[in-house]
Amino acid sequence: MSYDTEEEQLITIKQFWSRHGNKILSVVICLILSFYGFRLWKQHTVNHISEASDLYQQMAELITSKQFGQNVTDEQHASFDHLFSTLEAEYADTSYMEYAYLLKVKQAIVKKDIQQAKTFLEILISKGKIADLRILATIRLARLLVSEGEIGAKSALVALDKIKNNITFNLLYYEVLGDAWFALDDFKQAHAAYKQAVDSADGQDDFHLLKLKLDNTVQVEELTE
Amino acid sequence: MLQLMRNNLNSWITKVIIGVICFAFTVWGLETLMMPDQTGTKTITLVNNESITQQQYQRVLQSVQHQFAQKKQNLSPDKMHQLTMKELINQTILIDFAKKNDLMISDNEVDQKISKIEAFQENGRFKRENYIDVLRRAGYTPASFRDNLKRDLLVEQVQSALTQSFFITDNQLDYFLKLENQKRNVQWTILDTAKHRKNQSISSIEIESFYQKNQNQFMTPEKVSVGYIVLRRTDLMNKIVVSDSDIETAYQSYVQSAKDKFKPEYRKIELNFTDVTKESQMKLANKLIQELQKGGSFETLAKQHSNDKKTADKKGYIGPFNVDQYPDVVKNAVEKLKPNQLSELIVSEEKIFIFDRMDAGHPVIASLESKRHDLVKDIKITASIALFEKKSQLMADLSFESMTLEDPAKQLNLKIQNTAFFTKKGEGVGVTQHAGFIQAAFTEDVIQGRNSDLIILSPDQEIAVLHLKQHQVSYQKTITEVNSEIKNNLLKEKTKQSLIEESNQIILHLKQGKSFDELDRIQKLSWQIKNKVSRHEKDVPDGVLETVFKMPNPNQSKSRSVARAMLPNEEIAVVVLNDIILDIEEKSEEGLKNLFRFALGRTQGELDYKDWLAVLNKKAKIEHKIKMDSL
Repeated sequence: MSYDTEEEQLITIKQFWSRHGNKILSVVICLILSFYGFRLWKQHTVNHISEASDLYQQMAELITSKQFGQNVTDEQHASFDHLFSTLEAEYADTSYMEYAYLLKVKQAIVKKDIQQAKTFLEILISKGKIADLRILATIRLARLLVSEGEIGAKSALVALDKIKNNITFNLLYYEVLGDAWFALDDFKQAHAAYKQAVDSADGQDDFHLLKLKLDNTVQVEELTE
Repeated sequence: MLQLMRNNLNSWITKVIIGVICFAFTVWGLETLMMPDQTGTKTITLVNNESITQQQYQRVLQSVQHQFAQKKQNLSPDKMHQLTMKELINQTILIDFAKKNDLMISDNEVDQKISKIEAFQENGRFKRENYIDVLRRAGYTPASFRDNLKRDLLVEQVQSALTQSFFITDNQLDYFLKLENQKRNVQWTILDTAKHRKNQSISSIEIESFYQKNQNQFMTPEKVSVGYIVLRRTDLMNKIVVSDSDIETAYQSYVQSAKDKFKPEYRKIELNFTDVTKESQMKLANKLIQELQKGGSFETLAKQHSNDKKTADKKGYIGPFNVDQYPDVVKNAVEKLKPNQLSELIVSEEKIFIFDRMDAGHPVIASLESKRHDLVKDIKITASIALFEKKSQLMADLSFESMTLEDPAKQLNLKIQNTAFFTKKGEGVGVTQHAGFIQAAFTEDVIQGRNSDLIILSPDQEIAVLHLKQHQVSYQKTITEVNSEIKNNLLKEKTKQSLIEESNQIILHLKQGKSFDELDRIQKLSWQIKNKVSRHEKDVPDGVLETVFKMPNPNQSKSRSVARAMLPNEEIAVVVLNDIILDIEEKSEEGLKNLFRFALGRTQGELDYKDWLAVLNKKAKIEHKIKMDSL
């Protein structure tokens, strides 16, 4: 299509604008709104996560203070619980909620409330979104169960069996497996599991307790002759 | 002209011209994207598509070098590179994990961390000028420093999520203590090494054969000895003479700076109405101000009554007044206070304040005499830094231009010192234990007789240049040179084998159930018996003790628990474990138990983290973009 004069071009543009102008304007406005909307949403998300991170960090600082190991005052427990409740009420959709559950388990152990510790670990196993944390929670639950004796050790074996095809923590998995067999007086299986834990250590050598367990379950080689 | 252009608007020539213009605009500036980066942001490795930049590599490398220099350990450049890359890859894997799981550090957290860094503080308070100055000297901008800090804090957060949440139950702790404190009843005999050694003989054929098969063992390492000069900033500093006029100028500058920095200082008592009524707090405030006006101690009253716990612990002291923290009513009242003046009650919407201006209205300025020592030291340090920089440049130029050390040594008034021969592993004494020095001594330029480049022995403190004196290339020792060495080694090996055979016999007899009396009739052995041996027993030889606690539990089997122990002095012992005693109640105090719980929890938590990191490492997609030589 060719135009002879600028007037003709102007008329064509005007006609085009009267036909499609509203649609173009709508699209442009939609694009601008979407862009700013997206930016606002992104900023909101960053702020939301940052606030959750701050709360979690405060919880972590409380729990790592030396006193938190023992002799925790009621005031300290209350501050910790308050931070956790805020996180649970307003930031349950963030990953920090899952980390906070791990800290809450530790607090329950300090309070010697094993049942509550197990409950939090079970919540993490069933609802957690981070796969590695779900596996870690399973291993920590198995550790708790083993420390309860023979019946607990059997439950620990069942729990560990559920993650046997998806082991993220090799050393820990086999160490707890060894602990479970040991609790059931099966020293041969315990030793084999501890051996596997040491073999999967990948160059680490700072596992004093594991070495003690391994040495403690060495079996006498029976004479074959 | 314009009409001509309009007429030809649709011709192919016009289209080509427009095309060229469009192309020029499109590719304009592309070269800056394609060119290798000059600012250190070039990616050297990709970990799960996250970049590790050259700048990050240099920073971590420096930190690794610093760590080992502090420990006075010498590492090869290869090893240094491996450690740096390992650290960076681990960090990047954690950053990638954090991003994928929406973990981040808030700006608030970064601000808090920055304000707590001592290097940025003055009199315990964050000072922006110090912050900017320290960053500039370290090669950071505030933005790049914040980014790095944010990254470090995020890595720390992900790491500590595993380590800090670890727990030890009472049962687990008891089990650990039982294992740690268990005792073992044991007996052992050390075989007669001398008797076995006496029975061995080594022929010249065996020596020859060993030499031929293990020729690599008898290569001498490449060695050099060098002459070197060292320029030290402290030496320069000691030679600087400071005149009285220099001291006077520095003192005036100190006085001016003290005046510029001076800010009135305050203390306060703060009462709020959150938990109690305004009336009762007003009553208390009135009582307090009356006491203060009568000469009561502000410090005591602030400590007892102020609701702002942070400043109450400091007896009310707040330092300079921060206008941003207070409403206008407070600001106006405080700014009117004269030196050493107490305010009236200041009532805001939520709180009541009493302020006391503590300063005398002018800074405390030390006399010239009391400051003289510090001023002289500061002048010398400043001057020596500039001089060191100037002389370093001169040293680099002179060493490059000259083929010997004589000229730079003479012009810089330095003494040429010499080393003994040392290998690429260094000698562990003086300069020959410094990785940079050793590396420089074996460079091609130095071996060919040129002076080395500047070697930084200690950043901004000590630099050196070296020159080769003698070079011993690696060569193979002759059989005559190593004859006695080989003979000795073969003798040791044969003796060891003979001892192992004897120990096997004894172990077999014992496992078959022979009594010690029966065994004694076959061969005379001297058995040592010790009960309740702990893991830290001093009376049991090393090697035996180690073996004892790795032996099978005799109560779990029908056979005897017997093992061979290799002792550090090449002796061999046969060890019999008679019993394990687990039921001894070690009375650990509660405090000690807690210490164990804390230490064990921390170690086990770190194990959780390292185990997880190892797995993430295995899963990570790592792509190296640059070879180590190019870094």
